[in-house]
This record gives sequence, structure tokens and C-alpha cells, in this order.
Amino acid sequence: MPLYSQPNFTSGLDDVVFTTAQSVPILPIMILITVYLIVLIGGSSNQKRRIGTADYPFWAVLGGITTSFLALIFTIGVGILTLTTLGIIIAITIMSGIWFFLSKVRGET
Amino acid sequence: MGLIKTTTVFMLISLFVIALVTFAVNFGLDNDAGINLGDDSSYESLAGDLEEETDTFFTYSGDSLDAYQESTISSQTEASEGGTQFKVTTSNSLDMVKKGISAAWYNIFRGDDFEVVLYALLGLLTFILAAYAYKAWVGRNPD
Repeated sequence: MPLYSQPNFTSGLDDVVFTTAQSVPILPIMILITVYLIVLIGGSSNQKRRIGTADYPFWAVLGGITTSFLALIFTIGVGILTLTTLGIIIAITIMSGIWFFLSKVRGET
Repeated sequence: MGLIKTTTVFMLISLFVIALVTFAVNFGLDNDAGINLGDDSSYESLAGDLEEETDTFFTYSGDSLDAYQESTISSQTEASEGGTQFKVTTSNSLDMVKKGISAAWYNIFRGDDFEVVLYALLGLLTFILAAYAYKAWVGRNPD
């Protein structure tokens, strides 16, 4: 017996995400967290490898914006994301932006 | 950070929050989305409030410029007595950041348990801002 109802893969990728989200509600949130961490950890570690230092606030705000845009696409259909989750994502992006702007010292761009 | 840098940072934070929230709300309206950020009560008026704050900042900045132009300093005076130019613009720009932080904080934690941490951080930020304004006004080093 499968853990959840198998989605109909012939009806399109959006329907697959929607149907799976009905069975596993945390799936869209996990996708968003994964995207955020990939941008944050991947970008900062790659920058550290190239130039020796990593600008963590920059990659945090970039990950937040990326996640926000992906979350907005998820909100077009009802049942994938809740308003509370969307609000938290926007809030994390705002906090990342505040961290980014306050992290710049004199003369640094 | 000096006074100009600090005020610029606060203004950029405000514009960033306005752009992000406005884009998210209008994205939902344009695409007739089932979940719209505009339905969240805490975000509903945030962008509008911040736009009003930036308008106020624009007006007060003009007033500060007029005050600079009209002020006179007699010989051997080290600093102006009022310092009202710094009081107006910095406090107003700090209010914009407080609105953005409050909305973001509420949406993440949803309660009053962490409120003391928020007020502690904002209090520290206000203290640092006041110290730098004092440095720019009087000329001493608060670092």
C-alpha cells in the first residue's frame, strides 16, 4: 500500500504538485526550504571558494527573494500554500533584507 | 556607519519592504490568485504606511535643508544649539524600519513571547543611531 495517493502524471506538473500537496501538506514548504538553502549555502560556499570570503547577508536576501517568487507561483492555486506560510516567507525575506542593508559598513558596496 | 549612511540604509530598507509587499499583493490581484498576501491583516496596511512615512521623510528632509540654509553660526561656536535637523530625519527613518520589522516579526513568531527581544534590538539600534547623530552634530567620537 503506498504512503499517499499517486498523482496523475499525465495531467501536468502543476497537477502533480497539487495532488501530492493534498496528501503531503508539508511538501511545498520543504520545496521552498530546499530552494532557500540551496541558494544560501551554494552561493555563499561558492563565493568563499572563489574570493576567500562569503557575503552571507547577500545570499540570504537572494535566497529569500527566490523563495518568495516561487511561493507566489504556488499561491495561484488554492491548496498548495496557506496564507500563513506565504506571510512567513515574505517576513523572512524582509528580515534578510534588513540584515543585508545593515551589514554594509562604510565604503563597502 | 555615519549619519548619511545610516539614514540611507533605513530608506533602502523601507523601499525594499514596499517593493516586496506591493509586488506580492499585486501579483495575487493580477493573476487572481487563490492566496493573496493582501488578505493578511498585518501586511494589508504596511506598504501604505511605509509610503506615507517616505512622503513625510521627503517633506522633513526639505525642511531640514531649509533649516541648514537659514542657520548661522557665530565665530568660535563649535556646534549648533538645536540640532533639530538630525532629530527629524533620523527618527522618522527609524520609524519606517520599525514598521517593517514589526510586521515581519509578527508573521514569523505570531506571539508576544519574543517581543522583549525585538524591543531590545530596536532599543540598541536607536541608541547607536543617537550616538552617531551626536557624533555628527558635536564632533566627538562615540565609538
